[in-house]
Amino acid sequence: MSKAVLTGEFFLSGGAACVEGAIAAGCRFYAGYPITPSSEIAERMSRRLPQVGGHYLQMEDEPGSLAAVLGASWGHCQVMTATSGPGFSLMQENLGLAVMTETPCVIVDVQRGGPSTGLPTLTSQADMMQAKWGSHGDYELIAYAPQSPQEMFDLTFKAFNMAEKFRTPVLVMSDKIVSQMVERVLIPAEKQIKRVERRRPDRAAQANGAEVLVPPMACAGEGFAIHVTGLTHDERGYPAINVETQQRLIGRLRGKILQNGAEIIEYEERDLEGARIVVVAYGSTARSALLACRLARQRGLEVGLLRLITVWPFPAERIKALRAEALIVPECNQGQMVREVERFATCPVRPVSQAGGELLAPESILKAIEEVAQIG
Amino acid sequence: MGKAKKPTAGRTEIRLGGFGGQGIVTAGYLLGKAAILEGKHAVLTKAYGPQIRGGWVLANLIIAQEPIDYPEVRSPDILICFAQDAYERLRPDLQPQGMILFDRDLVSISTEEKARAIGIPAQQLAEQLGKRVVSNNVMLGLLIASTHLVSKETLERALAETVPPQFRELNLRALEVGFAHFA
Repeated sequence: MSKAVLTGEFFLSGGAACVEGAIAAGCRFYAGYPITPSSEIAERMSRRLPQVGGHYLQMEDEPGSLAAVLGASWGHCQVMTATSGPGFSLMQENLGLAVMTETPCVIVDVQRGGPSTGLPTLTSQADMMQAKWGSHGDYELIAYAPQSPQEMFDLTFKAFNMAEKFRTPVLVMSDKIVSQMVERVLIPAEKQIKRVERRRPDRAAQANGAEVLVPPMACAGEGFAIHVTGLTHDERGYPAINVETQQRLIGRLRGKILQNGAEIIEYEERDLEGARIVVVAYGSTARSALLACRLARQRGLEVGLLRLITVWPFPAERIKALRAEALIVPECNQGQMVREVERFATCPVRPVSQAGGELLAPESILKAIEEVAQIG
Repeated sequence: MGKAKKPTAGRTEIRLGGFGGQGIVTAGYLLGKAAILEGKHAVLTKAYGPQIRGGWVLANLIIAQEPIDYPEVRSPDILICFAQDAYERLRPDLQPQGMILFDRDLVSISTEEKARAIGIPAQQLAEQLGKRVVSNNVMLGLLIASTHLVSKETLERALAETVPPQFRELNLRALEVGFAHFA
C-alpha cells in the first residue's frame, strides 16, 4: 500500500496538492462527477484513494455525488467532492442538508466563468456569494480561498479538520488559475501532521444534559440508534416542527461557527502599519494584488495588503479595525466580497472588477491605488 | 509597467507553444521541476483549446531567484515554437531582446528574426531515436545548452523522477541529442 502522506518537496499542480492535502488529513472517500477545470482532482483521487485503502466513486451527477459523500460521512469516513460552477449549483440542495444534519464534509469548487456553462476552461471568482447563500435557509459554514498550490494542500488539509471539529461542510473556493498552476509544494512529515478526530457520543456526558454547540456524532453501525433528518429536529434527531425547536437549532447551527470566529478566521497582513490605502484581496487575485502593492510602494505610496484566507465566516472585525483612508477590493467577478467589505468598512471602498476569464491584471489594481491616492 | 520592462530582476519567462500531443506542458513541467530542484522558484501555467489532442497548447514558465507573486507570463524572454501557428500567434509578445527556439522543419521564421533564433530539426532527431514524442526533450536539451537556465544534471534528474522507467533511457538520449546539437 502506498503512503498517505507523501512527505517531501514537489512541483505540483493546485489540484494534485488538494488531493494530497485531503488524503493526508484522512480522506478515504470521494464521490464526484468530473467537470472542467476540476477534473484533475477527480483523476488523481481515482488513482490515489485505492492506494491508501479508500474508495473513489464516480456518480451520475452532482446531486448524487454530494449525497454519496454525506452518506459515507455518516458511515464514519472522511469525505470530499470537487466540482466547478455548474456542478456547485447542482450541489446546493445537499449542501443545505449537510449543514442541517451537521455532516462533516469538504467541497472544493474550482471556479470558472459563468453563469451557466460559461467559460469551462477559463477562471473566475464569481461563486463567492453562492458559497454563502446558495442553499435556502439561514446558515453559516466555513470557506477558504487558497492562493497557491501550497495552500491547496494546507487549506484542504485544514478544511477536513474544521469539518470534523465543527461538524460542518467546509468549502475550498479555488479557481482555474490556482488549481491548474504548478508550483513548489512542501508536504510535511507524518509526525508533524495533527488530525482532528471525530468526537463520538459519551453516554455519561449525554446524561449530564449539558448544552453543547457541537454535539458528538454517532455514526451508523457504532452501537447507537440514530436518526438523521433535514427537517427541524430536537437533540435526539427527531423532527420537531415548532418555533421553539427551530430557534434553538438555528441559533446553535449558526452559533457554532460565528462564536468560534477567532479560531476559524485567518488572514495574512502585509505592510498594514501606517498604510493609507489597504487592498483587500483573496485567492488567485491576491497574487495580482501582491505585485500591484509592491509596485505602488516602490512609487512611494503607503499601501498595505489584507489577504483573506477564510472568506466565510467573513472577518468583519478585522475590516472594522482597519485604519486606512480607503480600501480597494479587486476580484475576478463583478463585485461580490466587496459588498461584505463595504458593510464593515469605516472608510470609502472601491471595487476593481472584471467579468472573469483571466487573472485580474496587476495594472488594473495599481491604477486604482494611484487614483485613490491622488484623491486622498 | 510597460510590456518591455521586467517586474523583477533574476527572473526568466519562457513560453512554449504547439499542438496537443507534442509534449509542450511536459517540457514546461520538467524545466520547472529542475529549477525547483536547484532551489529556485518556478511557476508553470498552461492554456489550451477545447480539443484533447491536436488543439493549440501553451505552457508558460517563470523561473526566478525570488518568490513569484503574479504567476502569469506576460512578455516572455524565451519563446519555444513547435508549430508555425504558435510562432505566428506568440511572436508579438516576445521581449525585444528575447530569444526564439524552433523546430526548423515545422516552423519558418522571418528573415529579420534569424539573429535571435536557433532552429533544430527536433522532431526529425526524435524520430531517428525511435519516437517522435520525445522531440520536446530534444528541444529542452538545446534550450539548456544555449541558456544554462538549469544544469544538464538537474534536468536529467527531473526527467528521471518524472518519466516512467521504460521511457527514461529514450528521453535522456533525446535530451543529450538536443544538447549536443548546440555544443
